[in-house]
Formats: sequence, structure tokens, C-alpha cells
Amino acid sequence: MTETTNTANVPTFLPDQKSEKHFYNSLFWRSQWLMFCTSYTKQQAVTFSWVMMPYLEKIYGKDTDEFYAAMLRHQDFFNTNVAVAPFVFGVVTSMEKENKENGVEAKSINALKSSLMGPLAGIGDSLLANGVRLIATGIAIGFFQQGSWLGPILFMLLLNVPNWGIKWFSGKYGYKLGNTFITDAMKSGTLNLITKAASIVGLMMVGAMSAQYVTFKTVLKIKSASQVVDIQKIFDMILPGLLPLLLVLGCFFYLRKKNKPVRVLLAVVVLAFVLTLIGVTGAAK
Amino acid sequence: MLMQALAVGLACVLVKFGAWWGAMGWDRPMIASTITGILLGKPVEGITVGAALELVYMGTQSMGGVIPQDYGLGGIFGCAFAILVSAKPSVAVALSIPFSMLGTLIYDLFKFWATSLVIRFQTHLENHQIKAFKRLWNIQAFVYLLMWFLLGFVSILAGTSAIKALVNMIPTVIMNSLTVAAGMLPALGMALLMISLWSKKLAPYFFIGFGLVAFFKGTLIEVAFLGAAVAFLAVIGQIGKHTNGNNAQPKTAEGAEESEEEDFYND
Repeated sequence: MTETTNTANVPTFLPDQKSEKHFYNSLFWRSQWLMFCTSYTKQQAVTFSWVMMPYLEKIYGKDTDEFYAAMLRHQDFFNTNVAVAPFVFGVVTSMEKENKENGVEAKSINALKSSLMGPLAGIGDSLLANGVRLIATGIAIGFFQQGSWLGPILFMLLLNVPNWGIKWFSGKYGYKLGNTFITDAMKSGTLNLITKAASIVGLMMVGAMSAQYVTFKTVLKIKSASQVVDIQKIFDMILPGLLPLLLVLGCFFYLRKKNKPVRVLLAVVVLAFVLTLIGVTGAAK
Repeated sequence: MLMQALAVGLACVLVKFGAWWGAMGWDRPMIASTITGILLGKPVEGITVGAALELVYMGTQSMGGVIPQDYGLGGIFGCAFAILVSAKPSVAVALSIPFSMLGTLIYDLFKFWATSLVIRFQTHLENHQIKAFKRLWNIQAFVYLLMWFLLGFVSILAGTSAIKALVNMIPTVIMNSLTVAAGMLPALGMALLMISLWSKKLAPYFFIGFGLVAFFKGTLIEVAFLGAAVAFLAVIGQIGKHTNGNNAQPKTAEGAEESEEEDFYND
């Protein structure tokens, strides 16, 4: 392992392929800690600099003024999705290296960070939190209900193989491509398309799960002189799943107007109690 | 009860660690419940109750570190009470809700402390003390995990017998109401998910997904399969085109992104 000297003309960071591979591995593991020490004022800033610490030490030299200047530079606000964050680390590391060797303006490193974190958080959240997570949940939850070990195993694999794959490759390509890739992707609209596709799959899964898992039936039966009318059967004839659908849409349109989930939670519980007490709903299957 | 309290404390540590470290999703109620079940020696119960808990908390997710309800703790305590006081799944769901709210409160307190540390981190760097910087970082990570351990440990040690008494007191009509509520609550989860996904243009996909299951009895795996194909169909025409077709006047990439984003949420 070559140590950094004070003269700038020898490239000391990642001189060969072996150390480059080592860097990708190291970045992959260190970036996993990003969420720790999240603060109100600067979100992930402290841990961003903590992740960068060994790379900055290698680039600028241990305990040098330049190293501390770089660490302080990375105390600025930072917040993005954990899976795609290695991309930012990769880009920033390549720029810090560039800064040491040829002197880029330090300000542009911070500007790039702030311009990347928004779109990347958007794409990471829509792809993983909405797309992949909903598919994984939809596939695994049936096995969970049967008490099968396939449930947790499938869920972890379906969620984390894409999650960790994105993490590994985004760090690598972030460092290799620098900042060109993401600007191109934004210009060509690729980011929007990925968000759109993830939203479509997500919405279909939400619709499917609404039908599968929301249980809202009436046990009300109206007795007339000659026959008993089962109200639920009438609802089923109009549209299967009508009551669950109305309940989901009702919650949704209220939430979209006033984003108060706890209030909806309480309202649903109260509604369940009232309807059961007056005999409209019940535990009977 | 000491061993069970230690087990639940450890479950809290594992769940909170796997939630943040690598965003592995260990705080999803299904997994949190499975972990708790394993540690309490009843993994199959943990897995089964996990499904009921996941359905209630499915729509709540952490976005940018903000958690509306701590669904991870909801998963842990729901499972713990289902196993320790043999509560029915619908009762376990109801018992988990106060803990999911307590969790956000406790995390808020921690985050205030972490925020106060930001300045100390900076001071260490200004004084060129990288060792102190590293030490403080290790301390805050340790305190974070210790805090969750204590919450799980103390709650189970102090609260279980009270909760057991409470569960035994519940009359049948309340039990039935809780079962009905447990069936209805997933609607809230679904509605919360739709908030981030819905737009007028994409609304039909929700109804397609609903119909595939409600009318044609499709399974979720079948819907996911068709969903992927449908999503590909919907975007295939636009791949490679510069910006989106409806933006007539040239805009910067950021501008286009923003306006798309805006009508995504507004309409």
C-alpha cells in the first residue's frame, strides 16, 4: 500500500486494478452505514463524511490540512436513498481525486452532491420502496400467512438482491463515469420512465392487495315475511369487493386532502366498533 | 420473564440494525415479527402473525428518515404479545399500535440528541482530531442500538402481566370489533401507498390490479408478472425520446423533471 507523499504529481489513489477493486468493495460495505447518525439539521451529512474518511485520507494524506478541509466540506446537508448513495460516493471520490491531481473547484463538488441527491432519492425510493418492496411483499405474504419459512426467505431475497446489486454497481459506475451519466439520464428522460414503470407495477400491486387483504363485509340480513335477504350477497352481485374498494378509496381521498394517517387509523377502528355494536359487521365469516 | 425480556430487547436491536444498515428491510413488520418469533423460540407463530401485522403497516414506510409510525416496533411487540400472552392476531395488531407510536416519540428524542452532536463532530474536525470524530461516531451508533434494547427489555419485563390481565378482560363483542377492525385496517395501508403512486394518468392501473384479484381470483404473483409486462408496454414507446412529448418548449432537464414531478402529485 503506497502512502501519500506531499508532492502532488504521483497518482497515489487507486494506481492499479487490484486497489480499484478493493475500493469498490470497501465503498459497498462502508456506505451501508449511511443512515446512522441522521440529524434534523443535516440529515446524513456526518455519516457521509464518515464513509468518505478513508478515501480522503488516501487522496490527501493522513492528518493533512487538505484532508480536514475536505472532511469539513462534506459536513453539508446530505440526504438520499441508501441503495443509490454509492453512486454519489463514487462520483465525489473521483472528483476529490481530480481535485488533488489537477485542482477542480472544491465548490463544484458540493454543488454536484446537492444536484444528485434529489433525483437519486426519487428514483431509489420509487424503484425500491414502492416497486420492488411491493412485489416482494405481494409474493411473500401468502407464504407468511401459511407460516412457511419460504415467506421470510423469499422476501429478503426479492428485496435485497436488487437493493445490494444496485448498491454495488452504482458505486462502481459512479466512480468510473463521474458526473456525466446521471446528467445524461436526466436529459433523456430515462429517470422519469423508470419512476413511471415502477409506479405502474406498484399501483397494480396495491389494487391487487386491496382486493386480497382488505376484509369488509356486512353480516346484516333483512328478514321480511317470506324470506331473508343477505345484504352481502347483493353487494357481491353488484361488484365483487365493492365494500373494500370503497373503503380504500375513501381512506385515500381523505388522506390526499388532509395527510393525517393517525386520524384515519382511529376513524377506521371507531367505525369497526360502531358497525359491530349495531350488528352491521361481525366476526362471522 | 427475564429471558423473554432479553429476547425482545435483542429483537429490537436486530430489527433496528437491519433497518438502517444497508436498508435491508428488517423493520418491515413481517421480518421484525419473524425475528422476534425466532428469539422467543416460536418462529412459526412469528411468521404467521407477521403477515397480519404487515397488512396493517404496509403503507407506512420510512421516507428520508421520517417514519409516520414505527412499524418495526409494531411488528416486534405485536408478535411478542401474540406469543407471550397468547393474544389472537387481531388483538396483537391492536396492542402493537401504541408501541408503534411510542417508537416514533423515542426516535425523535434520539434525533434531537444526534442533531446536537453535529456541531461537536464539526468542532473535532476543525481541531484536527480525527480520533475524537471516530470515537463520537461509534458512541452515537452504540447509544442508538442500546436505546432500542432497553425499550424492548423494560416494556416486556414491566408490561406483560398488565397486558395479559387486560387481554383476559376483553368481552366478546370487543373481540369481534377488533377482528373487524383488523380486516379493515389494511385499507389504510393501501391508501397510504397510493398517496405516493397515484396520478390521474396512472389511476386505471390500480383498478386493473384490483379487478384481476376481485373478479378473476388472480394471485399476487400473477398480478406482479402481468404488472411488469404492462409497465414495459406503457413506457416502451418513450424509451430513447428526448424529454417527455408533452413539453413543447425546450426546458432544462431539471425543469422538466420538476414539472413532471409536480403534476404527478397534484392531479
